[in-house]
Amino acid sequence: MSKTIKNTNGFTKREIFILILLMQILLSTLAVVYYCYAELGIFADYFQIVDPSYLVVMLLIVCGTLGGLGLYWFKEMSIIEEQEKTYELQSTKLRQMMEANDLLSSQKHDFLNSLQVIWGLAVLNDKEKVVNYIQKLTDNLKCDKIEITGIKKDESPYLYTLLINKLHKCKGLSIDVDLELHDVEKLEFINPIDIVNIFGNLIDNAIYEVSKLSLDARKICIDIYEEDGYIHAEVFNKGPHINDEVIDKMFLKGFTTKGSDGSGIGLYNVKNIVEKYNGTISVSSEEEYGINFHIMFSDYGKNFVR
Amino acid sequence: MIFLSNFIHAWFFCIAPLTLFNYKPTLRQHMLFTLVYGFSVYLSRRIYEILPVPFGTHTFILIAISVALFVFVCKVSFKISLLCSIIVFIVLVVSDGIISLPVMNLLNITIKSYDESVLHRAIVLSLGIVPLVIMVLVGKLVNIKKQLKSAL
Repeated sequence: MSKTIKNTNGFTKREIFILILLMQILLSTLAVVYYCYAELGIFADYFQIVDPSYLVVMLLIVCGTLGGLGLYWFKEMSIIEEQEKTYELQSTKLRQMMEANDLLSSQKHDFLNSLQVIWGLAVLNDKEKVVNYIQKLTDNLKCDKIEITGIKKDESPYLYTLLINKLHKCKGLSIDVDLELHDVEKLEFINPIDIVNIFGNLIDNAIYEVSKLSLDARKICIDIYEEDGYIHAEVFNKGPHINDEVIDKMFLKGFTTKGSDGSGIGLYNVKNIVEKYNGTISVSSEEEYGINFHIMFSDYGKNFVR
Repeated sequence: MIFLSNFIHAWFFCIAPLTLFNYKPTLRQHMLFTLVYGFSVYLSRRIYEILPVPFGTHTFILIAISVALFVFVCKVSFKISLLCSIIVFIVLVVSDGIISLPVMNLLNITIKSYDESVLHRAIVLSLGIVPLVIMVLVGKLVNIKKQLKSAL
């Protein structure tokens, strides 16, 4: 890129710096050789010789000026190099974002097509075909016909079905799940899609963390309760301790500890959704205890735009 | 003979930096450069007989002339011409300091005898041509390396 940053004479700043350096070398060597010739008496008598002291002063002035200029151009070069690095980084980020955007667009397109099919089948009241179609979409959606205490299928169908699906997943991974669902109906002020996003992400993260542990340590607790005028939701897992530095960055977009398995979007979305409903989310992690995600909503009686 | 020696110097002066930058002047360009620069060297050294300027002024005149010749005769860009001239003069001045100067001191050669004696001129000239020949060889070696790299 430096080759493209040219001044009016067609020289890049790097080339000007090189030229100044070369000029300085030339003048210095010329002066030294000249001085040696004069001192050794090699010059002929009829030549007008420059006085050595005058030569030294001239050399100092010229080299000082050129040195100053060189330093200035060097500084300019450093600034340009830094800018080039920033541009390159931005360009890489932009390219990655565009690729991600393309991928998301194509996925959204496919997803909308599938939703249209599901909607059509639902309108036709063909429940079996709906189930089969969704089953084909993902092999992750399997559930047992079980009843969950503390939650009514008709009042909170979305959270109910999500929990059934996650319980089935936990069963397959031998994870012990403890559900303490007391005041689920108080969450009805939240858009069902947002509820699914919050609990889906938190439970998936918990499953990911405990699945790395030994079979006897695999435990997840999900609590929903009202206390002191607040509605609380806690998702606890027996996962390994995480330090404060990770906790601070946990909700930042793009931050993940899962490597290539993670996207760094889940917890970022959860935090945004919680804050949309004037809620707070906090994380606590203790050695040999586990990790607890604690969500609190104070304004659960108010109407939000759903 | 003394007059002709300027053209030998001019011949190598043209080819040495251009080889380093992988420029190949045509024979016509090379001849023209040699002719004009050879005359310039001869005439610039006579400047002290006409004008009361300090010795060494001819070096700066020759730098300016060589840049102009690289641009107008060899059709090289101004940037490369400037670099060519400065580099070749650095090489010449450094070699003057580390080769010619001790030899001249040893053999009692002065600038006056250099202007008058064919032998003295031949000695100094050959010493001055050595770094230019080395430059040509280095340039050719670098170019061969580049060609090999690109071929691989």
